[in-house]
Amino acid sequence: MESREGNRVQYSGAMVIAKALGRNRGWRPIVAAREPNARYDVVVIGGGAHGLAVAHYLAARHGITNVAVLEAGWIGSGNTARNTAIVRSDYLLDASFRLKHFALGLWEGLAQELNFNVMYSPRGYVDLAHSDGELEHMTLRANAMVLRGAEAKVLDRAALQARVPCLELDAPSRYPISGALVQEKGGVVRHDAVAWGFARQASRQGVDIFQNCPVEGFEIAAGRLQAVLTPKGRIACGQAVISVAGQSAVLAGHAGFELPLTPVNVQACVTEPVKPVLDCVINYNAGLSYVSQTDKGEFVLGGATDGYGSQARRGSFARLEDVLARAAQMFPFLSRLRLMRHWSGTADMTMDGNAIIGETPVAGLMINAGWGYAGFKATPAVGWTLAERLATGKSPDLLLPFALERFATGALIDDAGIGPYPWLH
Amino acid sequence: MLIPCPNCGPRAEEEFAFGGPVRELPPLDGTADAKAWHRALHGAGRAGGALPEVWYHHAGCECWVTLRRDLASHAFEKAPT
Ligand SMILES: Cc1cc2nc3c(=O)[nH]c(=O)nc-3n(C[C@H](O)[C@H](O)[C@H](O)COP(=O)(O)OP(=O)(O)OC[C@H]3O[C@@H](n4cnc5c(N)ncnc54)[C@H](O)[C@@H]3O)c2cc1C
Ligand SMILES: [Zn+2]
Repeated sequence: MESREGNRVQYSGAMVIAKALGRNRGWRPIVAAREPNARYDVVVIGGGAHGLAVAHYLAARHGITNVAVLEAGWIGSGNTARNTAIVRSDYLLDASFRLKHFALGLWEGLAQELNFNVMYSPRGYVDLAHSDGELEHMTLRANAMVLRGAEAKVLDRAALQARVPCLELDAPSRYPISGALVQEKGGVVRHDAVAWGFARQASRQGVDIFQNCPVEGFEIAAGRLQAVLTPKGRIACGQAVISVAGQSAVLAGHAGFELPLTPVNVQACVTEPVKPVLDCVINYNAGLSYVSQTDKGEFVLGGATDGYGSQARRGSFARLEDVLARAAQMFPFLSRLRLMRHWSGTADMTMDGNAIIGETPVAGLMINAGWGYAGFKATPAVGWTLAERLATGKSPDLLLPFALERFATGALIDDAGIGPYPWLH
Repeated sequence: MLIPCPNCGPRAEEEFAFGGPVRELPPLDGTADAKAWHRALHGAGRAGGALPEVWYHHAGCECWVTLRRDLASHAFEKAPT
């Protein structure tokens, strides 16, 4: 059994060099292997970035350390490590904007806070408009952002070409580009490091993290949660949070309630690495295709959902072809690169395309679900606010609009104005 | 994915537009309350297994067809009519 002692060490540049000279022997595991206690104050179900962030902030901000994170596979093996790592807050609706903008502020200081380099790279998020009407809508979004205290710029074609010199504006393209909305604080964060950073810091503060430990059922008495059931046995708990992304409907089913969402498949891929040419994240909006270049030189590409409900984690070839075709419209040179890897994740997409965070019909059981393919950027904000909800029994204002009841009361948060068609969000 | 159109036979998914799970909508005569609409629009059993769904075959017979599909394996069964 590993003790937590080795985990107390503080990482530093000097330490990295010293370990390298010692052939990298003697690194301690981030997560200690141990047996679960019979009871925890809080059980977090799902060791993705969101669940691990909840655990960290419970300990760091509220001193609650009798906490277990139960992960079915290995930490960060879900959508955390499958996403395209984009963070931004350029949302139109108030609730969406505020939570993600709060997250953007937290990303800035996260590497210091976690003593772990999460590589937040504010390289700019460039959202392309393909018509004058779309550019006007982006101006509306930019104005809304500026009024709420964020930075945002609208670029015309000339300014856009100066910002992204390698972008093809003049090819005989099907969807001409008329300008862009740019948020320079948007960018990417290294997603695996986010999971490990939160896990390590939570573990250092006394949180127990169990991998290969799926929750298979709940013990509920008189409408109140008593315990979660796992292969490691029954674990009693004061409160629990379901934070399992693509498996949300399954876990809600175990607890006896339904969630207003449809699982959909989302794909991403990377090319072989080449020399640096693209210094921002760019999003093609006629259809959907977003592109960034990693520090290693690979191009990361993602797009819309496969367009129908799916729990397969197996992508539709039609969608992949579509994403690549649109990327090649922006950057024709991409067509000469080979794809190195391609993968999928199951995204839990709700009826208004926004997340569900807060209480469930079962007392003591919270939910954090419905992030679809947009939840990575919100990770630290979800951890911060949900930890506060668990610790104080009161939802912070940032969370109130995301309550499950909003579907019954009609207070939907539909940024795209699409309606109850999750596969189109 | 090949979608077995009852009119045209198995065709590539690109020929279809997805219309979602079959939804039993309340009558539009004002008799149904908000709760019934909430259930019809936001519910509809998505916990897994084969679900009846509608597809529009735009590159074929131009009909809406109802088919049952398993969300994990993408295996289709013919919907009972
Ligand atoms: C291809 C793709 C691209 C994306 N791109 C972006 C992007 O660029 N920007 C952005 O903001 N968002 C993006 N997202 C969305 C983002 O990845 C998710 O919203 C986010 O990761 C969800 O948070 P999580 O960390 O809780 O999920 P996960 O990492 O999926 O964590 C959930 C965990 O729960 C575990 N689990 C499941 N069932 C059980 C059980 N019964 N018991 C215990 N544990 C269980 C899983 O194994 C998993 O590790 C993308 C998603 C995909 C699929
Ligand atoms: Zn047909």
